[in-house]
Amino acid sequence: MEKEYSFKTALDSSVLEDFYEGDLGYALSMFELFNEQIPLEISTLQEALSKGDLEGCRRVLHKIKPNFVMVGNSPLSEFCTKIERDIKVGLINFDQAKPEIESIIEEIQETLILLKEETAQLKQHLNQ
Amino acid sequence: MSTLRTIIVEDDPLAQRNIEHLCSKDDRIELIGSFGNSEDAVDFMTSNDVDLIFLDVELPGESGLDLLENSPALPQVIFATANKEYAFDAFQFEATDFLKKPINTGKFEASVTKAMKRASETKVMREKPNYIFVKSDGRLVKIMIADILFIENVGDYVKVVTNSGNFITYNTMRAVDEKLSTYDFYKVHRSFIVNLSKVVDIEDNSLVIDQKVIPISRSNRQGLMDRLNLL
Repeated sequence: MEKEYSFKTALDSSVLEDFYEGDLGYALSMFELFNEQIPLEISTLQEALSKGDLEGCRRVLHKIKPNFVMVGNSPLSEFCTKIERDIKVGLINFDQAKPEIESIIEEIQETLILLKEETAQLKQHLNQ
Repeated sequence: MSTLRTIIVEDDPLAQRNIEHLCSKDDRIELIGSFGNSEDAVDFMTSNDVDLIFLDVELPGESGLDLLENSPALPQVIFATANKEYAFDAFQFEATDFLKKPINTGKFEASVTKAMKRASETKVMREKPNYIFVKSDGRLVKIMIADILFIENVGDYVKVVTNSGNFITYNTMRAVDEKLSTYDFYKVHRSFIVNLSKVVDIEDNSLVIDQKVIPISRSNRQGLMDRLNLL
């Protein structure tokens, strides 16, 4: 039986507990995959941004937005949803979207830092 | 318990693992493949039987909706997408369910329950074909069950009377009665089995189908009454 564990970082622990329902091995595997995959998606997003490719930005936001719920950052998921929708319906143009997307990238990077801490702690806990 | 042979079509590795994990925990699911694009999934489906797809809509190349249009045989589909706006498409394709990502255990299990229910209904339909083959004049003739008006005993043969013609075949009334017992047929007389949906009029000891008067034996009358959809 797994020992008790509480998510320790500033990420939303209640969301994580609800989602993983105590399955810490599953949580660890998802965190590790997030740490591995999201930097690649940030690069794709930055590249689309540098080319002025608004549709490319939208596609990346669409793809990654559910992932933030799985690492305890639901507000970031909601913000990505809003920007993606605004782009899709033409509410914002590239110049309006750019600072929003840059702030999303910043927030993702902060999330990555927190999640790496959490991943290390969780791994240590499971190895005990 | 039977399982659903399932594939996942999802380009995001995290979402794919989310669904794979839930599949691995559910013994009603046999996961036989995960694909990152629509084209690979269609290729797989041309040579493998698939009962259920967890399908994302926005995919690289062809979309999930293209997959549904190009698929050789359409299994059940559970849409797994990040946007609620695809719910209308899900409805149009008669999807079994629509799940918003990320997917938690409760929602996943409820969707699989829907898929199991639909699969069992389909299986019943598959097990009960809507046609029979009758050997007549040295060949096998396909007759739609719904086209049969009645079957009449003629010595060592039976005559299958349909809207489009009669077919005489070497058989017994008992064998025919058994064969049609799960359909809406009833043996009203030792020489007649009738399609109940074709009966237009019933009197005390006879009924009418397509202007033909067919006798009802006294011993079968009550059974017939029990089978009729009486007001």
